[in-house]
Amino acid sequence: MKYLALILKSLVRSRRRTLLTLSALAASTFLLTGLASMVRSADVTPGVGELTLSIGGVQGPLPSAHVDRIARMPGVRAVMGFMYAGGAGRQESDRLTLAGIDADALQLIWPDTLDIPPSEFEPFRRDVTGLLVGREAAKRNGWTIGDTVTLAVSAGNGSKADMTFRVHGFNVEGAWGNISYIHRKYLNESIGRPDYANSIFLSAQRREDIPTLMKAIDETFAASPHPTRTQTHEQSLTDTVATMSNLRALLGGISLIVGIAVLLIATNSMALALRARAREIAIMRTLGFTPNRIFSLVLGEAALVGLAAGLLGAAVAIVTLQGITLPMNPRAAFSATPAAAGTVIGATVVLAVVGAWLPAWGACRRRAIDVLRSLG
Amino acid sequence: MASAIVIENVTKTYRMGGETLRVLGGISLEVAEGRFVALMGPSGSGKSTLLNLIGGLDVPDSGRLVVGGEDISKLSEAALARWRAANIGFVFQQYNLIPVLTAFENVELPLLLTSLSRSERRRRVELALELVGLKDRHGHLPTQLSGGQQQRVCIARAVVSDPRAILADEPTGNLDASAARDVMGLLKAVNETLGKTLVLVTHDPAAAAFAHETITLDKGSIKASPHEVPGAHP
Amino acid sequence: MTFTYSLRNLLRRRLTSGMTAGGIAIAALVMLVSVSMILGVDHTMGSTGSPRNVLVMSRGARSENSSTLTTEVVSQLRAHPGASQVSPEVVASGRAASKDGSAQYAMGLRGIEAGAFQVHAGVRIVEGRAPKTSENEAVLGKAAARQLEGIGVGQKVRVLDRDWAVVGILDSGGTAFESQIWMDAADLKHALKRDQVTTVVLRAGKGIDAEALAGTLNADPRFEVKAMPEAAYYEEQNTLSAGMKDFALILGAVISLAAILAAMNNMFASMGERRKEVATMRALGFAPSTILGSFLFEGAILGLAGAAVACALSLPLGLVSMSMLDPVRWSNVTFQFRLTPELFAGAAVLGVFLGVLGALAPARAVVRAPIVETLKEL
Repeated sequence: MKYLALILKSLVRSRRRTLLTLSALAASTFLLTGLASMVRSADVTPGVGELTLSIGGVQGPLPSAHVDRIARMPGVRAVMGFMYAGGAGRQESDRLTLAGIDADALQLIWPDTLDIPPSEFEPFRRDVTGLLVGREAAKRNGWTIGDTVTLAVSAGNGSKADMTFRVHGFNVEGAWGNISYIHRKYLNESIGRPDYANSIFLSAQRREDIPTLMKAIDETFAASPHPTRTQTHEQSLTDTVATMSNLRALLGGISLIVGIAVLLIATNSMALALRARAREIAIMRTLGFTPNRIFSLVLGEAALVGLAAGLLGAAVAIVTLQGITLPMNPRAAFSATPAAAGTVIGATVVLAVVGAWLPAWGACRRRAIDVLRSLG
Repeated sequence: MASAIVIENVTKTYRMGGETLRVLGGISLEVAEGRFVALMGPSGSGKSTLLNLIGGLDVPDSGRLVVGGEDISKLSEAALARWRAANIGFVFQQYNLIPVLTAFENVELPLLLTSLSRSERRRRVELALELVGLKDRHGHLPTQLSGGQQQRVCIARAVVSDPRAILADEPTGNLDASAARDVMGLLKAVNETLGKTLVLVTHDPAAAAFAHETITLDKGSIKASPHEVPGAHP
Repeated sequence: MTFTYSLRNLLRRRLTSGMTAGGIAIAALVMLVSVSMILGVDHTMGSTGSPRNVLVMSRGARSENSSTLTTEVVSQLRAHPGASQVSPEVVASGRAASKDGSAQYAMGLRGIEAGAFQVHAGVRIVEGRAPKTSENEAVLGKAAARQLEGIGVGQKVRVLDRDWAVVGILDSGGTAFESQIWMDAADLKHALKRDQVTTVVLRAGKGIDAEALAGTLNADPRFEVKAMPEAAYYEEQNTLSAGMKDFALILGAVISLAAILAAMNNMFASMGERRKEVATMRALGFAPSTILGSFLFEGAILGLAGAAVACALSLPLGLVSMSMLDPVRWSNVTFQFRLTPELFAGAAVLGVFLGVLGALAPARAVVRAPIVETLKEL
């Protein structure tokens, strides 16, 4: 690493140039980290249960009795009723998305909830007034585990109630992270509708059973006052999936543009630096530094700057981009993650080195003696 | 004495903006090991070009160049660089020190290309700086040194890697008479005490007087045959 | 003199100038992409609605989908003196199957009566005709038809588990109606198993202001409704673009910062190389402000060039349309990226702004340098 000192000295030589380069690259890295995190959390697929079926009523909500009936059908591993509601936090404008569920079946049916640590999920399961808050909502309202919160809850049909909950934990990050989970039983009782659910979800035991199961369910209730319409979880999420993949494509496009900016800035600043140091490089070549050696020094410098800028930009991103709701999907919240940062930092280093290639080549192109002569 | 430098029928032509300039036309020359030779001649006579060829900074269009027993006329750029690092020490008119490095670090630079340990490198640098009388200024940046001192740092850098030959291109060109005298004396001492072959390019007769012999070039060929300078400088 | 001097200087250092312009181009491009998307969403969702129309829902309903108006209220509205045309409508969202049946999308449905097309004057049937009662006929919005993979007139569309015959295609100038499926109100009520409409849209009579009419309706003691100008309703419902605006702002600001920093880097280098030239001009008597002006002008030219490149690169975007799920009304809305002349002008202004800012600090440093010392430098 005897050359490290040499590289560092070169960077310190023009503090202004190094600083400007560093900040320009860091700003771009900040954006890339944010974008990468957004793309990751716009991925709805973790929440899509392969074995999950979604059962809705053709004409409205379904009676809770259906849940029991379905639970007894062969091939059903777990079933739960689902009620959605809105809860208002401290301000009327601060709305929470509440999902009233049956906790015993939840993790089997909506697989992304498996990521909720048992230390948070278990207390929630046992406490019927329990609340697992969506990430972003928790940050917005400043709630932590153990807090007691009262929300003005309104169900889809207009019924309202004030309900008091105890916070036991938080929902995981990602496309579904902004949903807050409560017990359906508690919700139904509080709004005075103990006997119905907006929809029913179940987890089948085997993939092969699904087509038969779907048919069986709909047939069972076809003649009843509350006929059902069963879909796979995937089918029910077509619109969300399509929207999210559109969003990811868009974010990907913007990331590409910002990536090009990084390449451009890296090439540009290295070209400037080498032009300013043309004489020194020629001197070193007269001393016997081979073009390859010069190359390594230049690329090493680029890698160092890329790394420093990457770390800086990613660090700022992680600190500032926390708990932000995706504009197109209020159920999703994202924060800049170290994983995304790591990828972005690596990419920045690579782009910086690639960008330095052409200027480095240009610095070794002419004979050293010609360079010295032309510079006087 | 073996010949350190053998130049056989070397030509060099430059192309400048559509025009072809024949700088060296079939030069042949031999410099014995340990000799101090001065190349003199008017501007455009090709003396600097010849020096650059000897030092492997350029390759001849035709002819043979054997330096230190090695034919360098056909070496690739990378090979030349490696050869140069091991065999040649340069002293330029413009000092050509790296502004962000101290005197010590400047002198150390050629040694970074070797596999010497840090302590070994330090030992050699200190020796070289002592030789040129600048040991106490080792931490100074070039901007903090006078012209003459900078040139002496260059000489230290030129000898630190223990080269076969030292090539100096107008080393006193930017110095006043007193500093020039010091530098030339130093070069002479390097030649005599270290036994380094020394080729000096200069247009200053006072500087050339320090050499064992002077070769005059004009328009790309040797004008006068090498002759001993009577009463070479004491 | 300034123009040629600046231009020549820029051309002399082509690579550096190009890079500076390139950085600004990228910032401008990012701005164009994000703003054109917001404009597209705003146009589709926000500009739906005629300034002469008033939308009436039940009081307390958050959107048309969750509103119910009794038949009594509807008849009273029909007879209201302030309205020249009245359109009772059933607004819901339902699943529609794509042409080959492989995918299902949540679409906005609108059950209408004959008067709807007079009230929604901007909506035209461009192919086929309006749906007739009791025939289970439907008219597809242009974008809706596209989303369902090109279902056309004469074919069938499956909505709410029944087949509807497609008898027409409607165009509404890129607004939200184009993403909807319109059918006869009675047919839709039957399919939804409901007997009441959700909304009534009134067209204000001659000389009557829509806002005033809405106010009258809100205060009317006979019924409890929520009335608002149609345009205001759609703007309120446009939750999508609010979040997008914040996102676009941060994105644009940070990338612009990067562009300015990179531009400054370039400018410092090129100004540095022109120190002697500037000192000479000052020695000759040129005022520092003149010289500064020409440098800022150079920055402006580069910025403008960068913006022009960005505008050119963004042109294909105008052909792109994207559909998103409107989370409030649970129906897909298709919008186009909207490139307007104002947007391009904005990009140009941004480019000039970034170029000038990038040139400012370096230019001032060079112009302020002491003349004699600079000239004495080797």
